[in-house]
Amino acid sequence: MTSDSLGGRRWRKGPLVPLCAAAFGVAAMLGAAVPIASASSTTLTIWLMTGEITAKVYGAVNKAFEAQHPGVTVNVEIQQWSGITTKLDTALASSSPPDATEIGNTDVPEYAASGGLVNLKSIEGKIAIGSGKWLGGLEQPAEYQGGLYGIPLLAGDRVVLYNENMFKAAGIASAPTSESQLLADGKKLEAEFSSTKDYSALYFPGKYWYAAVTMVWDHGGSIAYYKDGKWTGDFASPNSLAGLDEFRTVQQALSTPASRTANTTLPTQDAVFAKTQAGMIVGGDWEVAAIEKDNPKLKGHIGEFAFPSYKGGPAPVFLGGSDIAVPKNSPNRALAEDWVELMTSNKYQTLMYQDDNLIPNNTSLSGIGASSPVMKTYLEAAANSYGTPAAPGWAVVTGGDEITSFFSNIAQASSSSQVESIAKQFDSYLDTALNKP
Amino acid sequence: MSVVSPASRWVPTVAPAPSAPRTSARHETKERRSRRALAGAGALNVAALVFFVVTLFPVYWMVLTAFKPTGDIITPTPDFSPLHPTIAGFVDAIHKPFFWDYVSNTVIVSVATVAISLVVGVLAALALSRFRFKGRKTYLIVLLAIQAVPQTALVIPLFFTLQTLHQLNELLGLTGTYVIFDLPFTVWMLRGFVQSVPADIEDAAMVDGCSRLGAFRRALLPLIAPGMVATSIFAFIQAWNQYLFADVFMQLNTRYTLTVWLQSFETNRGTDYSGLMAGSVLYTLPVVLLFVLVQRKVVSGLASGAVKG
Amino acid sequence: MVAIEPKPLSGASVRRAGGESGPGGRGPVGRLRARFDWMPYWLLAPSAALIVLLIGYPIVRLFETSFQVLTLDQLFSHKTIWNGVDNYRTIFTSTSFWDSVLRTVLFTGACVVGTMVVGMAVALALSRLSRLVRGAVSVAMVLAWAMPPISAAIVWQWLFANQYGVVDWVLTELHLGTFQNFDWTGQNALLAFVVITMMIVWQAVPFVALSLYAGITQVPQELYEAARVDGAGAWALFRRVTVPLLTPIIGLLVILSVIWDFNVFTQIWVLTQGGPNGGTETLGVWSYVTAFSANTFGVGAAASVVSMFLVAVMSFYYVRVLVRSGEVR
Repeated sequence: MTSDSLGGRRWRKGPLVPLCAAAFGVAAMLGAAVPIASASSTTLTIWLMTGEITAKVYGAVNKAFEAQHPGVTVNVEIQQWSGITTKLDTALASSSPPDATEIGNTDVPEYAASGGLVNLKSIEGKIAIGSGKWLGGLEQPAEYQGGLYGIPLLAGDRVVLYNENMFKAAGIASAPTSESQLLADGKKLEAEFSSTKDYSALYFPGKYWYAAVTMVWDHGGSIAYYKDGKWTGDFASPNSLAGLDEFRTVQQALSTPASRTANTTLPTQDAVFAKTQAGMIVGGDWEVAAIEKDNPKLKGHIGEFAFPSYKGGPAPVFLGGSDIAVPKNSPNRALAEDWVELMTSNKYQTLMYQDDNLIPNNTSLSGIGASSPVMKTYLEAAANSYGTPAAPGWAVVTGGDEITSFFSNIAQASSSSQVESIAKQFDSYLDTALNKP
Repeated sequence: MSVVSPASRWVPTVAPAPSAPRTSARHETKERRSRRALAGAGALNVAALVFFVVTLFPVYWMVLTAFKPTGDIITPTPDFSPLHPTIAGFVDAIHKPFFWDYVSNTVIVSVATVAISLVVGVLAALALSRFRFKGRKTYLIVLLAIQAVPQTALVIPLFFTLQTLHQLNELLGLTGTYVIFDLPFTVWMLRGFVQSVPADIEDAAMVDGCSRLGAFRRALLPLIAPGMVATSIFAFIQAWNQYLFADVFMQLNTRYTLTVWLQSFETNRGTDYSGLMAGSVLYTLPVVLLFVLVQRKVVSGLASGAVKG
Repeated sequence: MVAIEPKPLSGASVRRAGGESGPGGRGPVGRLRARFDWMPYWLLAPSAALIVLLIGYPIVRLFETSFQVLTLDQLFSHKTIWNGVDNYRTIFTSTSFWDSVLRTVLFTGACVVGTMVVGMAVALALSRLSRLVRGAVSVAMVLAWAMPPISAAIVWQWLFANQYGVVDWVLTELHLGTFQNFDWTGQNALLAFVVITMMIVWQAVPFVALSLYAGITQVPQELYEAARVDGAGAWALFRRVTVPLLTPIIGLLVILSVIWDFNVFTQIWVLTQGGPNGGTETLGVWSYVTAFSANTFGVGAAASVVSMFLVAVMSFYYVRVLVRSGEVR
């Protein structure tokens, strides 16, 4: 073997040389990257979550804010949900956090309790929401030891969506207003569409606890309660059990057996509804649009009513949504508080509702949906909302599969006594999980 | 397209079927051998076909979904052919805000990561496979330990390290982080490839008058080129797919990478499957492109060197 | 399939040609090292510098944290509270932790064995396939490999869904049994693990197969010739030529697979979120939920240290073989 035969000449053109060049070239480019902020004016940085408030709405808020505060520029940075708590943890611990940030209402308790956020109780009274009250599902998680660590920002709730054509075909004249009526109407649908394969009168995935927990609250039950400095699981209380049993009854009577272990992601309920395999689903307002996009024939034929109480009338709803908070290390705390005041005021909440279909943060705006039959139902239902336990350990319960598996097990239970034993078991889990180690 | 085609040169013309027991090759007649080889090749091709289908199907499903109109995506009975193909999902996907920023950030960071890892990695691999020195074992184990730490556990301390170095929101800082997590793997892989090349080859080159580094470069590198391809593609995919670090260390929308863009199809209002799958297709393309590109380079590189010593 | 060996191969020739002899004191490379050789240190300097600069502190910090109370309170107030081995006690007294460890070890084992066996089979097959078929298979593998893990996990969830699922439909259409609405991931943890394992193996095989194939192409052909002249069969060729020469790569792939599969998270998370009823809660999922959802970072750090230790135990044999493989014999 000679060195010529090793292809030394060609090797000079081999990978190492260009690679080196590329590495150093890129490093040089990176080094030359210029920082973007200009020093002359103050920049207020706001974090908002993806897929919610759109640029048009926060742009209007920023414009008004900048007019009031000459020399201040507002910079909105959109964040993703995946990994958001880690991102907030690091940002809030750093010396340069955002000046204000949106936080999901189920994540708020841990931040409220940990000293990373500013108590906004002092500005609460200044926010222009008239005689309205904050939506309970947004306010309760932000409360900690008499303080308020986040201002309700936006909400989303779920009501029953139904296929008007199917209701007509089954001879159902009006939307049910009580739980027993819901069951009776559902059975009519099941009978009418018994030939449709895998048909659900009310498609209800077993893991869909956002919707199922409504029935627990409706019967006067709760997830957990705080007493003597300790959280205690409450699913096995008689009232909660009545709610769980109702969920089991509704689910088993009106939804397919396969749905008992299902979640809402695959198949999506929208798809099941759009493929006319369900007469009803419990869904958010955004799902109406999704269904109409999937199946344009259903446009104008989707009705909605609040999930009915066993006593008649609407049952309390689970509220998804967010608060907006000011980190303690915010370099522009006073300005941030002003921005929050503006964003959460009725003026911009109305704009947010009109433009982005998000439920406003307080009860004084419950009536603004009068012109839209769809949103009217959602707005009214949201006025009667419950928050999840403001326990620091709540994130663990919803973090894994615990709570979804629990509701799925209830949907699979064969008797009330089995429901009770599943609930007891889950309560003992909650007793340890909800309390800080 | 093949991975490394010059190899075919070395493969025996009559491929021995792995399943064919041979008592003594020398005593078999030519006919028997070729008949068996044929049967073996048939079985092998059938197995390859099954493997091909199983491997490709999820990818096919992704591509298929990307081209479906939203109403056809989730259906009670699976729909295997795109009857009404649309590019709406793709249009939506590339019209997300800051898309082109994400593209350039991701490309810069990934390419830089691979380049740096490979250069630094080859040097380290040489040290660790062709020399015996104090600290060699420790170094090898430290590298593995870095690889074994769950990355989620390092996010917070790394954040503060980057903050101290003023590298938050900087592509350089992100590149450095990626290199750290690519490097152990790269070094170990390359060391493995170097070790499988007999040292005699460099010895011979040095006898011929090459310097030590010259011998590495001229004699060794062409031989480990296929290994470098496998390594670099893997390093690239690792960097390309990183999400958590990019999300946490980059706080400005203009500095995000494409993984963040992919996540944006999932919101609290559900998953946009059309956009997500279209996005995933676009996202996969550069990796495939890189593979094609790199493997061509290697083929020509290998073909140029007479490997047999 | 065991071949009868008329004559065992010369082990010495294999080892020599295979380069396992490494940097030993022979040949010009070795002779140059008569005086103290700085060369390896120079070669290592760039990587060492990067490691010390960027990851040195975080790793030290991780160990420190595992002996501290660290929740959001301490993170935000920058207070340090040492609590001895309390975090480790918390972990070791948790039954769900031990359950998850057992699951993780078995799951990792299954994934690694599956990946290596399939990967090796594919690598061997690749060298025997025609150019066209080999190209097709390689492209399929690269595509599967390049698919973003999050999208891959969603597609697999879709394939194995009990409603609107593809696999159930295909199996039913093929009349392989009653698979209508068959629940793969929602009821039986073992079955859920089978699906997750298949998904992991599916996406891990391309890298392993292509790496092994790259290794196989480096094996000098005359070794096979020589062995064949000695009367070795296909299995003997594999055992006595291919495997010994590829030991460094095989060992490394095993170690890397152990590390990666041990820490698998996204795929499990998308498919089952650790369900049904915690049945697929591996250590990765356990740490994420218990330590990182709850922001008890001290406990999380301790869990990470323990998981590193477990990975070390699981890969100990191969690490030892590999670390020693560069030594003089």
